[in-house]
Amino acid sequence: MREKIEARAAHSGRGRRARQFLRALFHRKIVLVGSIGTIFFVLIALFAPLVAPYDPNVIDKGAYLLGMSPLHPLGTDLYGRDLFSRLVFGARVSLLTGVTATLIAAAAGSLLGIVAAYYGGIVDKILLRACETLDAIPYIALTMALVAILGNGMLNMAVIMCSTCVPFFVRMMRASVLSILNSDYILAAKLSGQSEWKLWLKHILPNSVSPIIVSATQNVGNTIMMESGLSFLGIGISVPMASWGAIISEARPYLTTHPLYVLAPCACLAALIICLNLFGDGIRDALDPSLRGETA
Amino acid sequence: MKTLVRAEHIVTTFPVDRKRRFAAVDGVSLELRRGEIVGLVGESGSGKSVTSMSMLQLILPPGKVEGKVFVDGFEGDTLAFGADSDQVRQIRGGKIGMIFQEPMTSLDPVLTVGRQIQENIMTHLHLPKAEAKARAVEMMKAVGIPDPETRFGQYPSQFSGGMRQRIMIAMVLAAEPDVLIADEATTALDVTTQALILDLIQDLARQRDLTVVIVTHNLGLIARYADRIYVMYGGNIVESAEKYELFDHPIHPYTHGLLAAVPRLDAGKRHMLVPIEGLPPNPADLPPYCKFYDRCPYREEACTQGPCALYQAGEGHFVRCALTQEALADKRGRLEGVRRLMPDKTVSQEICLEVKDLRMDFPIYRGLLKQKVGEVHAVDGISLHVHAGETLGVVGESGCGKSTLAKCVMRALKPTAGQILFHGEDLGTLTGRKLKRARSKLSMIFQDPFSSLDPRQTAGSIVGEPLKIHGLVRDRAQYDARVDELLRIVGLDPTFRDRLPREFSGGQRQRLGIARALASEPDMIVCDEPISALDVSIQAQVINLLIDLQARLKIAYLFIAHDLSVVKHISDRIVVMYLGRVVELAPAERLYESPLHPYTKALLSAVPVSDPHVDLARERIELRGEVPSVMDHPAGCAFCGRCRYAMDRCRTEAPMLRDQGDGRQVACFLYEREAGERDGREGGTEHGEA
Repeated sequence: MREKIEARAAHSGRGRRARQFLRALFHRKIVLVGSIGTIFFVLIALFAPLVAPYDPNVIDKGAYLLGMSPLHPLGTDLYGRDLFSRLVFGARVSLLTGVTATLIAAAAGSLLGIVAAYYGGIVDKILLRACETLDAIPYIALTMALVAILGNGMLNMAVIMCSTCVPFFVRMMRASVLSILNSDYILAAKLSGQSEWKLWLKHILPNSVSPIIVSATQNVGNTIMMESGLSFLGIGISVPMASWGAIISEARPYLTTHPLYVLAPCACLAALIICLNLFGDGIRDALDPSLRGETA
Repeated sequence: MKTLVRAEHIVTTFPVDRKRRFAAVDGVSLELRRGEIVGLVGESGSGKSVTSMSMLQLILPPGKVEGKVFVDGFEGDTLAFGADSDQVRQIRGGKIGMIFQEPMTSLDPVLTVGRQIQENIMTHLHLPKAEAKARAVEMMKAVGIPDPETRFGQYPSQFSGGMRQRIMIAMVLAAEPDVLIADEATTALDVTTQALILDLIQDLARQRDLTVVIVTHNLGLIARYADRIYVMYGGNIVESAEKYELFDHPIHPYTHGLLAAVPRLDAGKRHMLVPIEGLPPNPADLPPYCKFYDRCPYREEACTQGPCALYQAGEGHFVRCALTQEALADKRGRLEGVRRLMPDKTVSQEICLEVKDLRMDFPIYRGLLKQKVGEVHAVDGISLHVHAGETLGVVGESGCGKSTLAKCVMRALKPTAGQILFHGEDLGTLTGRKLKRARSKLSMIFQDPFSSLDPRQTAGSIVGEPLKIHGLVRDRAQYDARVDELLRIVGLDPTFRDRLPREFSGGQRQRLGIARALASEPDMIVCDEPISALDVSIQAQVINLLIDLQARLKIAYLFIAHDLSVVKHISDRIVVMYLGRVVELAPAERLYESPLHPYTKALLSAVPVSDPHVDLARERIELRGEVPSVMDHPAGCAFCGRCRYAMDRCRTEAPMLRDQGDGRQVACFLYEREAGERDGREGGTEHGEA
């Protein structure tokens, strides 16, 4: 018993806790599958020019709507562009817009949430009302208006989509900061004379980020879904750029004649979203201490 | 006596991972006879709740119950019927009723209480609706709910905690069960309410020839209410006997340990408590031999030779131990001599903290526009002082303002009026650097060892934080040395400094909290219920630690707790609070020997002593009603509504705290001497009549 405790204490510290976190994260096999899938898509997106056999935007008028062949593994689209290459570059668009939109939303939302929780009173009320107003506008109407103003580049799309999920992060951060502000350990630190900014840096922020990280991971999937939806409707990413949603939209008339043209982008979208959600679930479980052993 | 329920070798297991399962209950056999009150006592993790739930098949998968349970009136082993069978459903609620700890969550908030009782009657007794309603009202009357016809149509949120527990009892008893299991049913309630509820259960049991199982960690309750007792540890019954037999001749080392670890109201203050060493066992990691081995002062080589059997030590007295009765008695003689005396401490005449006429009001806002409609006087004119190196205990029921007092003293709240003089400086007006300096000399220990430590900081940085804040160390080396020293002082291994709070047990976490409080070398520590979240055997360790620290470091404590036995054990003087006011202040021993204020008397009599003979001999004063809400503070004496000596004068005029000589003060007209002969005599005769 004694030796066990000492041995455990011997290799303590950050390294041990990181290992513990990873063990908790990959404890469930399904999370491991999700993580591997996510990494696979990320790698494809990163090295898209190397993976894709063709330029996704080069139009070959003579080779439209071809089936599977050694030259074009998934065939070609109605402009004769290589479908496989377009899907590879589509992953790039999806992940880039999804991740950027989430990052901006999480950062801006957290900041506003902290402001709301810190100042309280009238500031808090104004911010909350603003969030409610933003939520009350249907997101398609909102994005259409913003696309009309900003244009539909990839970065613009990210900014536009983030505007629809900012309220969520504001509320989340505000709630988590408020609950932490009421906890005994904050009182303890205050009573021992800790200065205000150190209190935030040392105690409040580290404890409030984990729910944000969890929801951010889960939010990436939602934004990707949203981007595809918008592209499908034609108000997403600008036209020649490959987006899964846009490909599905283009391919819709050919569902009966060229099923692979529709199914391949759908399958990519579904696979990526499932992997991201599994990964997000894993992160949530691993970060929640109540789900991990108390005396690990 | 007829046996109603007999459980044979119940083993309840839960999975640890895919391959291993652990036994939360490991071979428990017990029987319940008609009309007796059985106590099932043990610390958290001892398997006492799981045992009672296993008998009712309330264990959900992946948990698994094995063994046999025989219930009077049912053919064969009821465990064989399966958890969802009609028979088991009839047993649950119909034959055996159960009330739980949380009266807040065990009632449905969207149904009226009357309807809930009524439906229970209709399900189990198959009565028509109108008859069921009449019976529900009758039951509410039986459990002492005033004006049951009106309250029938009210929702659970309109009842206080104690009243809700009464409703639960009414609901369970309405189905006319033969057995009532009360699983920590009074733990969340105040001592006076707890006594009322258990008195009620006891009366009902006698009237209806009902068998009651009281599941608790509180030995005093068992001593007062139970007839027969099972002591549990690590999923085993380690000792069982009739009440008097068990308390007069305890045999098992764990029973002995428990009795010595709990401070008693009637005991002197010369000796330290004897804690049970080590930590409560982790149910997932129990040895295949005696579960108590690691913590047992009597342990021998022989104890590790497989599981030990239950043997009979007297009539109806069973013990599970590898050592015989004689061997244990022999060893006890040698071990008993080591009981430690309280360390000497020096209380100086210098006043460390003085509170003068402190008031703390909280505004009440109501309505759409959040208008201020009134004030709650949480602390209503309190004056007291604490000498350097002294412990001043503060007791009172929930809502009496003791925690608000602590927060004011700590300047976590800015008092509405009054002064808090700490070493002569008014904390209420200090700001900036001066306040920071005062804070270094005044620290606090919190109730909840889980929420009072930052879950993302390591033990070392939690303890070291005040050192950095107040610049008490010059460099890293000195900091490390001091943190190690602090951890050692509170009995923690300094190699644990890189661990996170969740890697410590509850008792160890509280030690971390104490180490943090000690870091800035304070002159005074405010302890707000520092041990109420801990297990009995761990409480003693922490109490002893606090006493030793005081003797060594000459720290004054403001010790706030609702457990009167603990407060008495640790305090030099005690303040009794009621609804924001001090009703009595006296040296600890004297307050317990001869309490003056009627409230103090009632409060003390509500606390059971863990010795049935002593407890039986004590005078019992029943307190009427419950603590009134702080919102509607009575005009006169706050206590007059529940006081059996209340006079007309009490209802119009609030008594002042007056000196009674030998260091005691009391706020009651019964003891008012200066106010003239007439009043004194009147008070005296009232006293005599009552």
